Amino acid sequence: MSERPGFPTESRTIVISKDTDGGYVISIARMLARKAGFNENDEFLIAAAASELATNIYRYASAGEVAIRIIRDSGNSRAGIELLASDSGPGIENVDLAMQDKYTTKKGSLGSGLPSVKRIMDEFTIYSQIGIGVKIAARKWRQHGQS
Amino acid sequence: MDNRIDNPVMRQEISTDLKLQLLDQIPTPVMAVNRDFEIIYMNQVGAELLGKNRGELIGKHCYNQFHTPHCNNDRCCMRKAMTTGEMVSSRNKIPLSDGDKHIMYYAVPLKDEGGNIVGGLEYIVDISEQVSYEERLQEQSRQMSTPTIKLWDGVLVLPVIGVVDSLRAQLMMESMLNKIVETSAKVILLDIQGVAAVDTAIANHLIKITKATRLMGCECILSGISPAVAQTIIQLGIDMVDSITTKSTLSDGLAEAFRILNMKVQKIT
Amino acid sequence: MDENESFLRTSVTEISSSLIVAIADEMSDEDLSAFASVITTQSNQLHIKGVILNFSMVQMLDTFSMRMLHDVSKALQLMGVKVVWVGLKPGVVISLIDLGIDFDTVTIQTALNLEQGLELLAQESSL
Ligand SMILES: Nc1ncnc2c1ncn2[C@@H]1O[C@H](COP(=O)(O)OP(=O)(O)OP(=O)(O)O)[C@@H](O)[C@H]1O
Ligand SMILES: [Mg+2]
Repeated sequence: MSERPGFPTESRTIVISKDTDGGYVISIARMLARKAGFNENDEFLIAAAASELATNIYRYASAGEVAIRIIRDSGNSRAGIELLASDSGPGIENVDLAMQDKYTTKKGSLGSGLPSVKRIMDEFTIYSQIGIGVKIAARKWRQHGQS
Repeated sequence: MDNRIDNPVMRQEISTDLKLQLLDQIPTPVMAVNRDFEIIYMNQVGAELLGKNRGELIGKHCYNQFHTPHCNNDRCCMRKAMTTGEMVSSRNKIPLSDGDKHIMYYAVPLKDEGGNIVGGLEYIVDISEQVSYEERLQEQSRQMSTPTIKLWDGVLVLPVIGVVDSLRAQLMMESMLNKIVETSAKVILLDIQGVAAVDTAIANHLIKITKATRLMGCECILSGISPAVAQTIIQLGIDMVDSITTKSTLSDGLAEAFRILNMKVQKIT
Repeated sequence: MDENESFLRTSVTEISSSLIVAIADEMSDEDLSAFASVITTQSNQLHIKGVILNFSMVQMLDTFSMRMLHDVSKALQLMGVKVVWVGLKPGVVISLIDLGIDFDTVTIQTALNLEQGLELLAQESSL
């Protein structure tokens, strides 16, 4: 394990089971984004993305977890943040639809959560299986020159 | 000055026996399992936590002992550690006879000389106190978090600080609306300078709050929008700008409030 | 049913070419549609410039009633009549928001109470 993450501050897993866990995700995301060297704008953006994932887990799967960690690319030249959300809820019926702006199955919601996460982060993968759950991995890299 | 005592720990070579003895001394549960999640080692504290003898635990499946929400499914950190080869940690709850115990557990893969993963080592930290502290803090901040203040005749301000969850947003809305009735306010400043984050749910709450105050004949100005928050709102794809009066600082907001009320602040010359 | 009979549930007062309408709590669908036609014809006949809908007696408003009252207000607006909604209670407002009602605050004005509503109408007519 050459690039073992510094322990235990560089990676956190937050179990989502109640409304207020989203707040915890926000604080951790901001803390780790700051540690990874992101500026305040990106810190807010990353926190928003992490919070969207947590909110969706709580809303649609009722329980699951969000893992947030600082990552480095293979050349060890860039730092970034990785968000991993996983739940064992009902899964998403139609992922393409869910990724569209304004699509929601919850009355009164904006339906902008998932598309926003995709916009905010540089890499985004979603994997959903009906009856099994949803897994989302998203990464954002620090821009060069960002101190 | 060489007054080193013959402490076995100081010797380079520590026997396996001694290593195990050391693990036994750790005042927190430590467990090792093989690839099939059969317990191959449990320290004294761990056995006590489960209310079992150490001997009878050996060879048993760990998930049949702990019964946590992570046990025997993909959320298990030990399973992740064994597949990724990295240390994995998480919060979790152990159901015990006197209620759930909140824990943080850390799992590391165990490797043989060839680097093959042959099992995993796990240790558990009791975080009940931290969790109950967090819960208390959350409750307290929730109670303190909805102070609608009368700033001027007809002008109210609600500073939003920290995390806004849906319950808090609801309390904010109620607090604002009641205060509007109470004070006959015509303008309310919702100042989000200190907000910890803005996501779609929070933005939606803010939009709803401004709509609600308008139904009561009170104009709502959203102030304290930092560059970071402004950028986030754009990325979220929410058009707040069209429907809500927004200002970057509280004082700009107050100036706008005075304008709405046809008031003017002047220096006495 | 006689139109005026069901309409009795709401009271209408005319002052200086304005109508002040006190909306009753829990109006039936019939009440509402009767109200809609009466209020538009009256406004027309009496050359009304402004209408105040006073909700201070209303404890609950469902989506249907809200939509009806909203539509009447827009119709009045089209006839060149200023419409001001006053006296919505916090509880009513919260439930309307929860129901996801989109309220057109551009065409329909709001005020906290009758007094502020009248002030608003007076301002509008003096402009
Ligand atoms: N973890 C999940 N499990 C099951 N369904 C999900 C999950 N996440 C999202 N969805 C589905 O995808 C839809 C779109 O999600 P998205 O986050 O984009 O919008 P939203 O949650 O409906 O609204 P918003 O995030 O703007 O408050 C949801 O309405 C829901 O039906
Ligand atoms: Mg969402």
